[in-house]
Amino acid sequence: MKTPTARTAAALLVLALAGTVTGVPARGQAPVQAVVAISNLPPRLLGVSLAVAAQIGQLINDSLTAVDAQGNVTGRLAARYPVSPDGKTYLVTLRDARFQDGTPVTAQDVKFTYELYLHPKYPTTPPALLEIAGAQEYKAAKAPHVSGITVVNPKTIRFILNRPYPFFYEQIGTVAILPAHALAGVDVGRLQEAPFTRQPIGAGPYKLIDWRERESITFEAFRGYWGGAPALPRLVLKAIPDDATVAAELRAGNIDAGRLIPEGYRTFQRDPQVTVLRVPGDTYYWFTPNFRLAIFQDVRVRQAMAYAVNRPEMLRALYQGLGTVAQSPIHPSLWQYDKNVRGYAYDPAKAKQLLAEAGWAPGPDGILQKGGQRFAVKYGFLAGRDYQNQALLIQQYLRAVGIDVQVLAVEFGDFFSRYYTPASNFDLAGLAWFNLLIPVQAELDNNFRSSGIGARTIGYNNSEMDKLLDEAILTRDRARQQTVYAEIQQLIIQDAPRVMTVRPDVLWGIRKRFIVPGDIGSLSAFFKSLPRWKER
Amino acid sequence: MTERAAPVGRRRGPWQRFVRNPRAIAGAGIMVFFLLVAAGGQRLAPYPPSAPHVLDILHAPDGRYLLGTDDLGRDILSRVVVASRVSLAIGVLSMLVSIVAGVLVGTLAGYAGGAVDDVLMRVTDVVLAIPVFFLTVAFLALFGPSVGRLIWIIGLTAWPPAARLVRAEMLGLRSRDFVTAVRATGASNGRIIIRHLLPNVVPVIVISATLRVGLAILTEAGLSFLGLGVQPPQPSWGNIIADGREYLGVAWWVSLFPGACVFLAVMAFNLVGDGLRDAFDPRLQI
Amino acid sequence: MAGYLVRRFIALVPLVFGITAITFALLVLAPGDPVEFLIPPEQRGSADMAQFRHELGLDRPLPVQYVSMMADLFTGRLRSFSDRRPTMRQVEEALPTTLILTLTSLALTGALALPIAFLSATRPYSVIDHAATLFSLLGISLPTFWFGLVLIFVFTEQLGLLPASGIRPTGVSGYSPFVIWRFLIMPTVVQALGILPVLVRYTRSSLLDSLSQDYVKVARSKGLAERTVLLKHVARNSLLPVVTITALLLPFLLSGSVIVESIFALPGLGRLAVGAALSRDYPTVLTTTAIAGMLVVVSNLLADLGYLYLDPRIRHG
Repeated sequence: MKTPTARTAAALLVLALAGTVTGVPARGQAPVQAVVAISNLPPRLLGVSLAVAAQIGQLINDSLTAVDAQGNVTGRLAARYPVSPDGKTYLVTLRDARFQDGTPVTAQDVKFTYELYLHPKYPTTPPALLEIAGAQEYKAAKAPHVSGITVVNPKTIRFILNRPYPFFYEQIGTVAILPAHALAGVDVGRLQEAPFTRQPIGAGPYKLIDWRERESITFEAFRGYWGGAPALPRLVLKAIPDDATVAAELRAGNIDAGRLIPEGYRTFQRDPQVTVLRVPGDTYYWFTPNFRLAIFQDVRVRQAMAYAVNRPEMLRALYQGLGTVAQSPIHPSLWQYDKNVRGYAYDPAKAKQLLAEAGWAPGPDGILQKGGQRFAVKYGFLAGRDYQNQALLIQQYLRAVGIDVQVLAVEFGDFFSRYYTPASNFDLAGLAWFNLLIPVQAELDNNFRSSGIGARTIGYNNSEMDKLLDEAILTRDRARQQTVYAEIQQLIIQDAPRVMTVRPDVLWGIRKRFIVPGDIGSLSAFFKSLPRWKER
Repeated sequence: MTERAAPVGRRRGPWQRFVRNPRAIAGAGIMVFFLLVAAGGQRLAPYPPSAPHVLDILHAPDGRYLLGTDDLGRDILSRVVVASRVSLAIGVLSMLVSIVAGVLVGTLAGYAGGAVDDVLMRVTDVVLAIPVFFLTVAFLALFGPSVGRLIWIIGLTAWPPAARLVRAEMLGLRSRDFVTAVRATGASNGRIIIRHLLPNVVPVIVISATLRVGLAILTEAGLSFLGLGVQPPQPSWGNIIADGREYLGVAWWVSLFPGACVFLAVMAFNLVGDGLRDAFDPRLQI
Repeated sequence: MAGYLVRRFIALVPLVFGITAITFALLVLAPGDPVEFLIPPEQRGSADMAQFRHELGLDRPLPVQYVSMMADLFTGRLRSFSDRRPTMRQVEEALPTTLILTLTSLALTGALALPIAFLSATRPYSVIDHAATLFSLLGISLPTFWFGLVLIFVFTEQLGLLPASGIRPTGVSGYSPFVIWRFLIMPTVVQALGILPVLVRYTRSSLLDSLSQDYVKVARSKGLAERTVLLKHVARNSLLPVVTITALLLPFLLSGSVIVESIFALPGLGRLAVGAALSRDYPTVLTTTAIAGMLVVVSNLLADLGYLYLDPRIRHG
């Protein structure tokens, strides 16, 4: 039986659909493509500080130099890059490379790019670029050009620094080089509105050919890539926010790769169609006290919190043991990482003893007291499964040594506006950091140097730390640098500006259709490996 | 004509019809059960609802954990029991907000008539035309979710149906003989409304209120999926289901049991609401 | 009749004003500063912030902000805070998905609800009637997102039959029904389940109402076949209220789209709205709410037209 409304509705539907038909899939010569699920697409690719934008940027763009998996410098667009004996002059000779629109990469493009990143109105200038002579004046709009960057000839460019800086090629050389002609005339103050930020042209292995909001970004192999066209002709990054949906799509073969939760990792190990990839995580978690509170200025209290937290248990309970206890803020794959660094073992007795030494004694309700003040603190964390579960375990661990913790989930926007306020609403903040997106020295400067944003936020200030961080910059001998970094890591443990908890492994499921390179050691490396995927 | 003007005489009839309706009684039974559980709260729970048992993560239901544990080893039974209080409170209190607002607007519009009626009904139309969930999500995301705000926003976006019902009833009653008679005795408008008119709309209000509770519980569950419901670690049925959504394949119990609670509670309120409607006036369009 | 429509249309202006004014008020009253979310933490509190606030027009008086935001909205000049593209462009990308899903859900609901209501109304208190009531009860009591997740688990993860994310295969543009139908099945079922009980219940009681009317008895007494009586007389008269309720269901469907689009990773208006709200993208929040409100308004107009078509009394009155 067909009722009148059903018929009307059906007719309406057909009309509506017919009206929207604009294309039918091209059949036949469809190139091999890999569909990789990511949580969300970034709003744009330039002038934004988001991990996903950086990962996509690595596919599209190339830089003068790059840092390999161990943290060593390799040449990319730079064929030769000698340093003057005083460590202040860098002469870069470009190799024959082309942008995706066919134009060659020239020294003029390089100069243009650095001046763009240093432009007074560019929103996310990497701090290391300010080491270039004249950069600060240019950034302050007091000079028409950066005096320390000179085009010698179309293939050669010279950088002069203010002081000897050993990380030129790790930090300054690694920014994406952009085509000057494509950005000529763009108002940097309104850069975010420029079409280029979503239709980029780079000198990297993949060309972005299609961007569909909340749907997918499609890339095509750039045949003219100086390093040879990628083995994988086409790549689609598909936005799927829900983990459960990702798992279902991967199981059904509707996507080729997707992130897994630890429980999913165990079940996908038994799936004959799927390879599971497990590599050390780029992300580590920690919680940090607000140093503006008198309670936390006593190092013994901070150390006590570190002793009180059972980190191996957290790892087992929350990640099925798939990960490592975080001992250092430096990613373990890098040469700066000190293999001998040992954090705090789980020792609640030691924690109680330290708290007692700091003058805290158990009150009638079992909560520590000192001069009539109860040790009751608020622990704020970003709303989300990982942060929340960790917060609840940390609450339990701290309660066991007599610290009363109230946990508080806060939405993303709210979290940072509160966390970055000096008069923060919470006393402890649960956070995470993505390693490998910026160079190690920049990470450490940000988080631990008194003038760094991260340290300023929590009110952390340690002159000994500042001195060591300076020393790392001023030393040019690798072995000596290694020692300095080891000392920095020891000091971070000993001074406990933060309690580092866990570094969960990165877990991915990949359909067996693809052969994946065997050298993936991090999430960043996973994205970097995509051009080398081959269909089986 | 005057039968609805004399509620006292009819009170027994609907009640008897209600108790003879097995579906309504089943609904009332489930409702009472949940209300008792909510009243008992923590005292009925075998464990503290937020206590993690790190050695029993995603533990299947057995003698120790009757409904299993979640991804932090928390006892699902305890969480579901403790959550019943906040979930039902959101349901009932937001219903009160929407009913009080709806009755106020409806009464005023229906009794005053004229320009007042026009303006109020236009406002009602506006609110009715808003896809309220967009507004609710925006409000909670901007102001931050809390139990109080959930109650207010769910309640304040849901009053138009009640307002329309009450207004329609009022319009019908206003011109009745008994109202004219009472007015002739010099009774004030407030007295007429409270003593003589409102008692007549009680059935409509009660039916609409009962159905509202179920919708409010579902709304909280939906908001929890988006992370905008009751905030963890405080458990609500909605956020326990949301917690378990990643484990549907490996630990079905995490989301099934709170899901069943929402389902049963909402169904109970609907059964009671339907039963009340059938008992009072089967043709009411609510 | 044209006059009637014009009057109806003018009456919609306060509706759109009301919806946007309420949303704007929320944005203004909300704690926190949208500028905080848009610039890197290191620049917070600096002179850049005041500069940025000025660029976004947030330093002007509120009524001016409202009027200019509305003017910009309708001329397509209002830009999203987060991706800095015109919000109308975002809506353009998101609307087809939501509209298609809404229409398929309405079609499925109608196709199911009318026969169910018809069967249960013509055979009150039969097994069919009771089954329909029970089914309605199940539909109205199930948390939709949970139901959606169960569907994904069964039909995608276990059986591998249906895609669980997106509106179309990668690399396909447009919304050809021959290509996207598989992507629509689960979201449509979830959306329809939420409104099916309402429509069944409403249509059933409306049919029962018609069946008890005198003209039905007259028609029957004339010896007309029961089938003719039901289709020609009862159905036509019962459809009037059904048209209204269908228009009233649209806000429900739009509300439901917020959750359904998140579960099934659909690039629609609901997901755009949630993302905007969570990142305090004020212009996009205002635009999505206004557009959703206008959709409701338009559907109400369509319902009026349906009325005109079905009820000659209004047409000639």
